[in-house]
Amino acid sequence: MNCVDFRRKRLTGLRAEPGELSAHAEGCPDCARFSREIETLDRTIDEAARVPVPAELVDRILLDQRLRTRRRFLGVAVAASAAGVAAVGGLAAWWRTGQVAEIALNHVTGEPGELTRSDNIALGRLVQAFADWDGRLKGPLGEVSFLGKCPVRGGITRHMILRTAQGTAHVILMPHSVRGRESALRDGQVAVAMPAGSGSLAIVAGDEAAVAGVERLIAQQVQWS
Amino acid sequence: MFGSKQASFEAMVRAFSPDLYRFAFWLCRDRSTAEDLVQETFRRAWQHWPSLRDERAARAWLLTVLRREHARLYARAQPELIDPEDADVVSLSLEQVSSAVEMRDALGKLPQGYREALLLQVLFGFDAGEIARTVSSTEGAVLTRLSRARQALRRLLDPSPSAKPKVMP
Repeated sequence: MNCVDFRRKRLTGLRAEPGELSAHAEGCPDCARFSREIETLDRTIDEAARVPVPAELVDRILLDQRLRTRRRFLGVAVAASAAGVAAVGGLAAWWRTGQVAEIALNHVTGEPGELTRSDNIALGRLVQAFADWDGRLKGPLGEVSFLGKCPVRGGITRHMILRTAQGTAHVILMPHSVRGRESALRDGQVAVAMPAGSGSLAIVAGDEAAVAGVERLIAQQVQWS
Repeated sequence: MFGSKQASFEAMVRAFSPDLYRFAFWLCRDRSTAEDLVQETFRRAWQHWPSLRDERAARAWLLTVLRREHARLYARAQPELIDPEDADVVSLSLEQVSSAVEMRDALGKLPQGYREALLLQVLFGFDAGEIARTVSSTEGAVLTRLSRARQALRRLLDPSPSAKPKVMP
């Protein structure tokens, strides 16, 4: 092996025959030094290339896959219903981690005391809350145990807590604008956010089925202008 | 049957997503976009699951899909620069951190084709033939890219004349 072959093999990072490279390097100080430089370079490349991986990446991918699988089954079940078809169309949007969904999730997980409230919210107050967001409430949302103006990073929300058959769900009218559907997942809570009226709508619940149920309910009962 | 498919899929996601994310990041150099690319890649993997039984073939297939998605994305948007947060390499010494940060900067300056070939070798342990198949090129062209990538990195990190290629004796 000559110096050109030696350096070409070191530069391409390819494996040589056992002992072939070291035999040449032993007799060639220049190539030995070159080889050490390339070893250091490769080690640094390896360290630099291994950028930190987001901790929630695997959960996000698996949640997306489960949601899509469920939607496929849901699609079969509601195919005969025009309202159902509309809801599935809405659910087909891209699952994407986003800042507004994160803000909504942080707000819910940071205020567990609100979960215990049990006020009976009058329909008129709900109508006004949606109207504030350029939405028209067309019918009841079931049992709503809380409605409040809650500050979050970026503005003031209208936060509602719904008692549904699938458990407690939070409907939060957010002041932020979002470009598309966003999602977030933490501590057993699922959050989605989507454009709605003059801002956005976030739904937070214990699992994706509960979120999907509330999303269908809102799609049926609220008309956004 | 479904449970087995689900379990296998989850195992594949856990095994491959870190390196796929890193590869995606170095393609687009944007954390959020890299996450989207990896997620879209696995969504397609789920759709084509029956043809992805062999692990080695699956990895190559995932990379091909990810590159294709990235190419489609490029038609619509330009990537942002590397997020400064990515300079956090807590497991390395101070000297190593400095080297890694400089190297990340240098990697970002490499031509896409050079960087891609080098990362497939470093992150995935691919040989020249596997890299050539993944990037739809020839082994000879890949060897040239690998060699030029390392030479370029040496020059970027050490612009002194000694880092420049020499005429062999």
